[in-house]
Amino acid sequence: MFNSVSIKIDKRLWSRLKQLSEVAGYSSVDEFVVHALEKEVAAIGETESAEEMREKLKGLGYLK
Amino acid sequence: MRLRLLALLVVGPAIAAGCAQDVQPSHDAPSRKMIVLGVDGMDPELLRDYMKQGDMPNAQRLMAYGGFRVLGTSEPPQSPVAWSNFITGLDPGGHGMFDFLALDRNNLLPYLTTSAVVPAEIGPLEIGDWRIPIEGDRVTLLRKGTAFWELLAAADVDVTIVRMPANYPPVPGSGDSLSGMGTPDLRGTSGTFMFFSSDPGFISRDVSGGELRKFGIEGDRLLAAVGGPPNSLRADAPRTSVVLEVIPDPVHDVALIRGGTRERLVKAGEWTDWIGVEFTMVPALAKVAGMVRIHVKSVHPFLEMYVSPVNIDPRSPAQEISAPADYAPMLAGQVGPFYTEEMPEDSKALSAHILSAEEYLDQSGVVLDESRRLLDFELQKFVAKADPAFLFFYFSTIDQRHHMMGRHIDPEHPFFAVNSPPRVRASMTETYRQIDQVLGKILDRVGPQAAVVVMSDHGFARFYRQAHLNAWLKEAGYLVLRDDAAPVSAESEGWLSGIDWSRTRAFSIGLNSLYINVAGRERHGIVPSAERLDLAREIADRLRTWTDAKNGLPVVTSPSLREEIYRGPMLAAAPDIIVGYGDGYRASWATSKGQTAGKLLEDNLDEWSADHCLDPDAAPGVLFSNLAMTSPAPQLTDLTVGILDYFGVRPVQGMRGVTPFAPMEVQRHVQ
Repeated sequence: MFNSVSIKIDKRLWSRLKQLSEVAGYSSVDEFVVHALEKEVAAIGETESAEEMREKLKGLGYLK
Repeated sequence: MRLRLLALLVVGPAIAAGCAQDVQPSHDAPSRKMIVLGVDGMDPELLRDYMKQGDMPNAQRLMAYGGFRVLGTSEPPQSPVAWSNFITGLDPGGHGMFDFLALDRNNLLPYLTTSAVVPAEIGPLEIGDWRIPIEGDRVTLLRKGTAFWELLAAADVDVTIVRMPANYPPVPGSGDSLSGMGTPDLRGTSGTFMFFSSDPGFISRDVSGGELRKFGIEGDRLLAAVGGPPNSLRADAPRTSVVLEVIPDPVHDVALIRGGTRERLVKAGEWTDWIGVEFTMVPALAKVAGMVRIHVKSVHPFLEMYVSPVNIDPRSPAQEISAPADYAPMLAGQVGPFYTEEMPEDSKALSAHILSAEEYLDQSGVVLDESRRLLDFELQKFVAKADPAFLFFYFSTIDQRHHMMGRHIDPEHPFFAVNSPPRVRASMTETYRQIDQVLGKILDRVGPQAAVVVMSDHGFARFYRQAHLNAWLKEAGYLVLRDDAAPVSAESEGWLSGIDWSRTRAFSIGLNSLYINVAGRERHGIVPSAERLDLAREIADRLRTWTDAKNGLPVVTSPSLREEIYRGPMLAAAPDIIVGYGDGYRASWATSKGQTAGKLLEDNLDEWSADHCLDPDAAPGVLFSNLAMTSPAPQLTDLTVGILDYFGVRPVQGMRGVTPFAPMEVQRHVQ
């Protein structure tokens, strides 16, 4: 694990993560956290698609 | 336009103007009560006219005790922005609401400014075609800042907030709160109606805000598949639906509607009450409750039927529409079900000519009646409450009717409806009268025991001409279209389409927002950050010179740089220029979607024929009360501080308003 780093997190959060990682079938909390963070980072900058927005906004009287 | 504003300042029996009072509240919440009636779109000029005609006796009765002022609105004067100013006491630089549409600069897509769906932290378990959520997605309110009623509740004031706009999902833990503008329908949209026809020649199609469909036919039964939310428990998220059966009487103009919670016999021209509909997510296990109102337009020769957007059922809400969660079901239990979607008056159905102007008045009348019932119930509670207590109650009817009745009441409008029925022609007078009756009921019920404040977020102006701002930017050399850009119309789909980003320095999307295409900020930005402000200033200066060749009038009267008008931590998220159009002008339908039309200006020939998304001086709101006022020209953010001050609660950091009300020693209503 030469390329890994450690971070500190609150114990209560760790307990919650442990619970959720078990429910979701991850082999370890580490694996779960890394996966969750990867997803979160990938999602930054992404919002709903143009089509989804059109669908959402089409009832707004101010727009056509 | 500023002359108009000055003239209005002297309207009504206003108390002699004096210096505004510094806010020096104590920490002891006085034993007081206050009701604020929020009337979206109430206009000072119309109010004055109707008072002169004797149509607003209760408004005059209230003012006689206190005062009247023109209330300065937000910049831009759009409802989510203005109500957020009022809610937080901050300008948009503080609360982050700048336009109905905000822009994600990373992908150049718009999003609704008020709320967003935050995906669950952990994705669902996928088992075959099913997706089993471990935890649900969350809807989050994007407005920043502290709502004033959070401060009231913290000071032990008993707080009830009914349908405050830009409060979805509602702020939790601060009294009772029902969400308003910003609340979606059950499909997650701003409201999608349906229309069904049995005419064999009818062509199914989608229109803005609606779906028009031909009935399915099985023997003597007509089948209408009412669309519900997508089934997020399925991997392919198919749209759910509920099938209603409609059986037309072979002779009489009446039809039997089966489906939903019970059968109904409906005559042509009638509206049903709320019909509960349940959308199945997992057979026998998971359903989502919604409700619709149906209007049978005709039975013979063809059956034509309007179905309202599927509203979240307040008896069993599928989304978080109240705080605490049992407040909405309690209200529905007391007064019956009610519209829960934002801006429930179905302007889209009128624009699509599915509802006539009279049918629109009928439908918006239903919304008004439901609001009255809710208010009656809350008034009963309010009167019985111990001090201190605060009630805010919102009415949308004036705003939503004025938008659609502009062409019926204004002979100068380019789309003036020459043959409007008398009821339609008189609709705005009648609507103001109806709101005055609401006020009368409050005054009769509450008497002198409480402060009563009537306010609006903005007034109204004309919408004669559509301003194609992106076309102007193109002509001025700030925006360049690709060679293959398709021509656009009001109905064109897509956002910011056809733009050559490698050569575009500025663009517009939304109703009043102009953005500089900044390198490192916008996805395809080219303008160096150091040049942003100078370019914005240059464009603002040139916008002031834009005149309408048809009549010589200025198209833009208030182009404001964000740095000049906003303060606060959200400033960097603001558009670079807030474009205030002159009275009579508004961003075109194409501009609002970021489209670039082939002309600079054109007449507005839409049923949506009056507006307020323009120069804030052209559409101020109103403030009148049985409280005497000292401030000669209050703003929305002053009223926020005035409410806190009334209850002896200090404003929080960032609130710069000054109470518009005179000190309590000189107030008459509580003496």
